[in-house]
Amino acid sequence: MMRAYAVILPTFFVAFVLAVIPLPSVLNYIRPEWVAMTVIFWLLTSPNKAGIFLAFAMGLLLDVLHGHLLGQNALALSVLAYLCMLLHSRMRLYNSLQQSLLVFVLVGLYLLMRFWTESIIIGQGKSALLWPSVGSAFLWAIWYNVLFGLRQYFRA
Amino acid sequence: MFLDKHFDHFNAVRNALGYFIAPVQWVSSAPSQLGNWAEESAVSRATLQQENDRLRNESLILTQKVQQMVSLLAENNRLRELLNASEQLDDSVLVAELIGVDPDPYTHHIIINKGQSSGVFVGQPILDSQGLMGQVIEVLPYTSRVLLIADSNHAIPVQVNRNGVRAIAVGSGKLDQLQLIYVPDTADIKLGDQLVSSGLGSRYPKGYPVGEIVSIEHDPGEPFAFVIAKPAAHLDRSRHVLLVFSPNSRLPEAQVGDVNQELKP
Repeated sequence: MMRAYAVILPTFFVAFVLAVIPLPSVLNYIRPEWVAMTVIFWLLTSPNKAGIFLAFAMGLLLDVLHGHLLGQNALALSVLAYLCMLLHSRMRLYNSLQQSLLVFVLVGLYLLMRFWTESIIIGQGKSALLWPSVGSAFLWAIWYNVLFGLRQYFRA
Repeated sequence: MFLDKHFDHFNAVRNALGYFIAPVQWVSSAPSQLGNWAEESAVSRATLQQENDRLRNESLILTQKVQQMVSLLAENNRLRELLNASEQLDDSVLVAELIGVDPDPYTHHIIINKGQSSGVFVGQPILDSQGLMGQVIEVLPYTSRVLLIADSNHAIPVQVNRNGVRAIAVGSGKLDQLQLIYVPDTADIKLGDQLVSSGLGSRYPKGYPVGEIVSIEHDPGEPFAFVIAKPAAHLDRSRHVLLVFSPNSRLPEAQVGDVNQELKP
């Protein structure tokens, strides 16, 4: 268990860095949701080690990193983690194209949750919905293979 | 989340999480820092000498201006005394470096490398060498988040330097545009007028440059003129920013000690 977390937490660290690293302004619009993708990956491959609590904790950190209201990403990522727990046994059988499509939908739902909480509490939703999901779906296959390679290598 | 918006009990939680977040921000700013360092260490001797010469000239000119400033300031204060107005004090500043930009393309926030440990407080004004940049909206232990004046959620009270006409400059969401709202068609505002902060609203100190008027449109169908200004500060280019500690802005009691050690005149 400790061994698994020694791999899981550094991957999240990398995801956080990728989530705020400066990009040219055009690419900013399709910046993939790295943290959400990492949550999906760990829920998909080791659902007995990573769970909703992990997603919640990472969501809180993401809130502080982005300066959002505390709990906004935490709630959305927890819902995302729950959906992944429901889907993981089916999703593992899919090929990478089907997985990318599903990631498009899941990340879209995650962004929609964030949009809803923003519009309810702040009164004005400002999260982009479509383009970040497209970006995530595009990079899903690569990110999946990178993380899967790490996971095999460290036998996490 | 509702609680977070309306009460500030969660600031402690946010602060504690901030310790975990600081390394992420350092790592994410590392590539550009490395690039800067490489650039600086790879310049030729000739370039350095040139720059040195230029800086020496600039310093000479600035020193001369400061000499004038001192006597002007003294004179100004004497005149203000005659008018029974309160004396103007100099603001002290702290230099900070920009380490990140908010990834959200719809907001204009920047992250700077000074936080609570340096005495930064929420609402503190930020300048660059050219003018006002924005204000601090969130303070973490080692970093803080700054709202730029061009963000569409930001407004700043300004006045025209030439004649003191007051207005409100609202961010347009574009980094090179501010919009002046509720300006009557008859107001004496011309192209090229300099805008300075008016100090009303007691958030920003008085008299720092905010921008320059670049376009005025009078539409007979609209009740107000449509005035656009260009921010004086280089909102998209400045790496080094100044945190202003005005004498009349509030300082957190506990940190006054450490702040004074780091202040530069």
